[in-house]
Amino acid sequence: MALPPRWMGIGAAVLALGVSGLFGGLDEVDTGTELATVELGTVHTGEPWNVTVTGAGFADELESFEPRTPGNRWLVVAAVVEVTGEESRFDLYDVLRLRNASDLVSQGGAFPGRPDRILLKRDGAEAARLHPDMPEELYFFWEQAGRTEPPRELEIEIIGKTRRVDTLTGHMQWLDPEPRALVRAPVKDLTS
Amino acid sequence: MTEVRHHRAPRGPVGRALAGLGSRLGVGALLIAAVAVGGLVKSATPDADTRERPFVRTGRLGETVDARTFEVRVLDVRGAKEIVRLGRTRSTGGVWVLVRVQAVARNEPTSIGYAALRDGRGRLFHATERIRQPLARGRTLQPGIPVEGEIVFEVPVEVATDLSIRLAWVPIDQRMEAVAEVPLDIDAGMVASWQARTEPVTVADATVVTGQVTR
Repeated sequence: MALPPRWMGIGAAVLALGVSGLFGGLDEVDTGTELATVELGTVHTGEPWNVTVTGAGFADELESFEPRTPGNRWLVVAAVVEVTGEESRFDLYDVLRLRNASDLVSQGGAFPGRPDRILLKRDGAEAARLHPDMPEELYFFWEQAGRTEPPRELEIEIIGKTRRVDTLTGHMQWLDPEPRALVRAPVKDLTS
Repeated sequence: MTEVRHHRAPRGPVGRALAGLGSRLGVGALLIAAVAVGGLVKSATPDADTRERPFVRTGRLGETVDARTFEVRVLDVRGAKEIVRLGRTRSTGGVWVLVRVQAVARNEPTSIGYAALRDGRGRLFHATERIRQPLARGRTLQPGIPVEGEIVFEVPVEVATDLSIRLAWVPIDQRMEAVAEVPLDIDAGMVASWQARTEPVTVADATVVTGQVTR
């Protein structure tokens, strides 16, 4: 007696659920879409870094370097970043993204809103790498076209990552950069 | 004429349905058993990170350690709150650790592409990029010509007394690669003296060591 395909499909689904139940069940999916808001100056604890956004501003020119195109300006965000992972990190360009800034000259390639430069507040050197348990205050720079008015408030996304097995290589890696929190910061004129 | 000795009446519709159900249940049970066995095998097999971990070769301060493409000897360690390199002073929120090593390529030109300090918790602090490193990441080592120089790190003060240096030629991915590891004999007194130092320490350039070999 042949079963109708519909019944076979239902049976297969029930069997799959039953078998998955034997091995811990299916993973839960977080359906929450609301991004947590963090106050300016408040630490957001996360992985692989803790981030405290301390301020934002804009400047038409800075003493140490100028925008690539004359007439453009820098949007600047100051933040304290502390690596919470087990190894020095060199993906600092993934820490913050701007959500509401328009007319950014460099769109961050495949990752819109990525900063153009990151400097250490400590000595103005390029920040290429941070080490575990060694918080540093960093300045993140985005170049904005001069034809656009600078925003009065910046919406800054704090990005987090997940340490999981890479399905291609089978190795544990920090993957899936996603916004974990949102900081709203008034934008000060740094040239005045 | 052949005599029929045994005769069984054909199954009825209920019997045929039960036989079919039993067959399907058997197939299902076999599938579950196969998945369970597969799960057991998978759980007993080391993961990719364990399987492909680096080959760590350990030694002590002053001993030559084979890092496959080069041999290395850790000579000395010093530290400071501030360092100077190429005329620029760099401070740190922790402490600078400067490890003096002597390295020589074995068979062909190579370099120390990877340098990190490993603390007691297994955390890895890579060589700093805040200065141009004199020896690691860039200085080419030629076979038979030992080069001596410092590799500079910054670490939290709390971990400075429990560190080992790790060196390899592959800059990024050390899986299944030889890694030389040497514990650094740093005690609390040394760290205290480094922190008390008011003058910045100048990072030494890497130099060819004439008339010596690592062994």
